[in-house]
Amino acid sequence: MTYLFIGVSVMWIGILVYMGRLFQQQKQVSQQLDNMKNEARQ
Amino acid sequence: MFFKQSLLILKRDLKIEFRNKSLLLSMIIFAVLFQVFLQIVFDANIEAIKKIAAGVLWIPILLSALLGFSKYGIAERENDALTGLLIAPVDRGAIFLGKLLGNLLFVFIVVIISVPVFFLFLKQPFPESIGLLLFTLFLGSWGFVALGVFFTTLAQSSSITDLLVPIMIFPLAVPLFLAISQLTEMALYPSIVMGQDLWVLLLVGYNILFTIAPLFLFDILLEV
Amino acid sequence: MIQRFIDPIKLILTGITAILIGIQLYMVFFFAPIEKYMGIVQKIMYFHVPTAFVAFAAFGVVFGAGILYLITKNKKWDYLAVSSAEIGVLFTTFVLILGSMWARPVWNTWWVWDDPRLVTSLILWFIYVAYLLIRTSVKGEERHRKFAAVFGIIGFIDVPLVYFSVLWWRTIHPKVIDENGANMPPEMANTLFFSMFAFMVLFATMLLYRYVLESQREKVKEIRQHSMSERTDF
Repeated sequence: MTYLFIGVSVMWIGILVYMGRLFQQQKQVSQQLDNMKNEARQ
Repeated sequence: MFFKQSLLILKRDLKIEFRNKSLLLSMIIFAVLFQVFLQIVFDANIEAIKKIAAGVLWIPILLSALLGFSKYGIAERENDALTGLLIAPVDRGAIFLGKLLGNLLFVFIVVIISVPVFFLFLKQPFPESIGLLLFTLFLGSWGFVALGVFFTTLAQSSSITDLLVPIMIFPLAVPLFLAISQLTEMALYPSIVMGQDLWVLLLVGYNILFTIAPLFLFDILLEV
Repeated sequence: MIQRFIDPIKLILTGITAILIGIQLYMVFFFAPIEKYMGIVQKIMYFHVPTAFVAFAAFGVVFGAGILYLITKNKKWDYLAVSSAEIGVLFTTFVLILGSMWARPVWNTWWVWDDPRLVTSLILWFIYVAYLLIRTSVKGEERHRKFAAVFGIIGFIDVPLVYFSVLWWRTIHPKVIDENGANMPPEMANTLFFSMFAFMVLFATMLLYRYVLESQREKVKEIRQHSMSERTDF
């Protein structure tokens, strides 16, 4: 039971952390793109 | 024409390397030193060495070859001479073959000195199937050098070349290592000859794959 | 054009993935029967096998995208390859961890060298970590893309060689672990297949997110370089 629990939770925490990092980086990149668009408009 | 070109490359590289012999000498010294080191740390008596003989024989050779890869033709990198070589009207495959032969010559010289040293320390009767041993030594070093030369040349623009090369080639070379360690064991202790043909086949196939493939891939990969 | 559809597609895919994973968890813990000999630990299988499939599929994508990149020289394939490789390494890590977690209570050891699948997974992990290292350390825009593509292709071709050499290596020595046939009750088999499906969708979702990030990041880089060169022109 404990092995099952540890294994599965390690996997899901890993996936969620990875996705969280992706979201953060995506946010940054989107912001940079927006800034560039605004600059281009001016 | 193709072979002539690669011989030209080989001649040129050897001329540079033999001008000061420090690379070849240090490769030989390293291999022998590491051999002695391994014999000491494993405290190898006759019984124990049966299990590790193949490793003790090969590890110094492989590491010495590995150290040689990045240093062979180092003059090339210093003055950006590689670009010159790439612009020269020479087939890229021939460049690969020339470098392969040069490295191979060095590794063979290391083998010629390191293997007798191994038997000197081993305190063991001479191997019975000497033919198989020589065959394995030849093809084993060939495969490893082919892989090494290919990836070292590619990784030359990396910031961590010396570290990246072993990280790339060791996992790829697992089949090669298994084949040579099994065949060496069979050659040293002929009582356990099983599946020998299979390993020979694997070794030959691996060598062909990693000698032929770079010949074509070099052209795509090394554009100036 | 496509830009406008990315966010909705992402949302829909995420929703579908969440639902599928929810169903999968329900099936694993409430629908599938508990195995007679191994007990509840056996349920790790419903995570272990699908992650292995995802990892292998991811490396297959790296292989395919690498070939397509070398043929077409279209950077999009390279973005796909690097995204897939990263997810593949992540899932291979899970395969190894879950495998150990399963092996410990059942085989009474964390690791065995006798099973070619275990050893191959480990070697696979090393190969694609090297792939990611190439991407971060090799200088030169186009050069490191080509280099990585070739390495991804060779790495994938090397996998069967590793598998069979480990198999031969071990069959020559006495064998410890038998392959027990897949005689599962239908509930277990269904749960397993559904888990594989759910994880494949999860993989697709993650790949989409990672791919969009990679391509936008490169776009930012390109625009920056472009404006820099324009500025120096004046």
